[in-house]
Amino acid sequence: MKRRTFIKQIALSSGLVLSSGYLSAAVHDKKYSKLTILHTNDFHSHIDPFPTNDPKYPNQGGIERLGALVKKIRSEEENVLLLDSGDIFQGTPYFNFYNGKIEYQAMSAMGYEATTLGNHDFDNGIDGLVKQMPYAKFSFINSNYELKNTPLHDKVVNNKIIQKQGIKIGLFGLGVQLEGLVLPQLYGNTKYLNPIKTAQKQADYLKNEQKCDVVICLSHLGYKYDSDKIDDLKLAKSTENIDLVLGGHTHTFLDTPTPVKNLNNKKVLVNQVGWAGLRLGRIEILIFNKEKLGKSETKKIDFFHKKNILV
Amino acid sequence: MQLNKTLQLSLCCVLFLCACKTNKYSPFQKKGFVTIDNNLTKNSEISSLVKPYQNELQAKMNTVIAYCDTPMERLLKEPETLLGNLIADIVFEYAYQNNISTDMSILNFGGLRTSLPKGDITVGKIFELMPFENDVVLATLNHSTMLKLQEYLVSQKGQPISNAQITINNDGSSEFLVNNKPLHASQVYLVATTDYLASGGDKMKFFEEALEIKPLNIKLRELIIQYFKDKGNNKEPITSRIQNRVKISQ
Repeated sequence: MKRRTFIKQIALSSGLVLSSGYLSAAVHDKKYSKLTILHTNDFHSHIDPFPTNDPKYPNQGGIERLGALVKKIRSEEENVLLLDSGDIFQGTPYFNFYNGKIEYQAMSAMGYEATTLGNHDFDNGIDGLVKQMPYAKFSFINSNYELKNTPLHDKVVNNKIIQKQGIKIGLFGLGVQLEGLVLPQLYGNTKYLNPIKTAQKQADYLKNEQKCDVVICLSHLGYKYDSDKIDDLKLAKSTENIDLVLGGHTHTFLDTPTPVKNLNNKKVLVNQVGWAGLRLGRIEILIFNKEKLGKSETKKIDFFHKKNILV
Repeated sequence: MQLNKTLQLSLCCVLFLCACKTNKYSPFQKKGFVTIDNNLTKNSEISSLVKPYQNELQAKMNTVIAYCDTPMERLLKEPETLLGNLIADIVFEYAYQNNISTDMSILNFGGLRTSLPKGDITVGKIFELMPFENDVVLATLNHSTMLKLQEYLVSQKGQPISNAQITINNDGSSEFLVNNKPLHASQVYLVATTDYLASGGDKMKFFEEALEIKPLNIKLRELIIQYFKDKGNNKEPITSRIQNRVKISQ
């Protein structure tokens, strides 16, 4: 029965399957582990649902409902990771009056583990951001803003490793170029660095040096631009060692995550779930333990790789 | 047991593969989200956390601060609007009180985010009208930059302005009056606007040549709320008129 639920869940949700030789001791006796990744982007201070007469999203969204959904999934799944891709701030009077405090408090109560910096998170300046950070019990991850000459230097990390029952997850974050998007006095001495180079450096470090089973990029670059401007699709295509890009900024509603072939012809999933807490992204990852698999099982997995079912 | 699990899981994938032959997505790339709607209950922990703020905010937002005597629509393709004139005047008057040499104000239609209805106006309505954290600034422009501002108004076929008038002719030429006078080559002009526009927002590139941009230390939204409150306290309605500030000759 349990197995059936398990299979059903995989069939119903999006996912990625990885083979790993790295699986840590805690799960060494298992053939595979499952990781449930939940994510949001561009929350934009939407504490309350949209009004019932809203032409686009009547009575949708709402942080209290989001909290209920997260709680329900946590009761059903063993390894849940809750992440955000930036622009938590700005968009309703809640932000104007309380400056992001409620957003951070509620997200902490839901058990968010990390976010990255979006352009609107600078809307009250770096000082305004720093002032709210004590209310956040999650990490702020960004790898392509040089912050050493700003008050954020010891409050934002380049990357973070999270262990879930032995599954090792490596996270890093990418932000959009702030110049022209945010007033210069608001982002101060923040320096924008090349996202592709930064991403490759971080992904290599997390996958090769730290032996992470899964490498996830929290991106606020945007899903897709017709110009040369770097986006999530270009990022996924022109790098290696990234498994999953959880994006934001362009408020893109993707019904299914977009599979992209990376530099090594390996599949990367790119996802984004609109904005305003209207959707909770859900991606399941199965991690097979190579050492525990028999020949025939390995063959089957290889077969699925070839058939493009497994990544 | 474990072996069985993996095998059956794999078999399941095969089945899905067969069943989904015409589907371009593999079974692992189905719907990647759950919609947040009223089928979900509320998380009581989160509710008790946000409730006090919800109550406080509702009370603040629902406070009526003034009465508007005519509907003022958010229009983006008219040369001059009631709403544009009202807000441009509020900005001009405030800047003039701070600096008597202020010559004019300029804003953008796109930045005024909602229409004002006839009737009671709440604080919440002003937040809808001006959700951004834009500050009011005073830019010093020389004559040649003012000519570019004039060109900009021509190219945009109008934007909200106060204490200035422009007539745009068929051939693209125009007559521009500031303070009721044509531009004077040796004069510098003080133009009130927002920090967003003064940094080149909505294609107002000419502001890059400003000799000085001085903050007036108030947010545009706060200024609008203050103006509406003052009117409300004095029992005067909020009103506006079309005055041929931007005229497009046919």
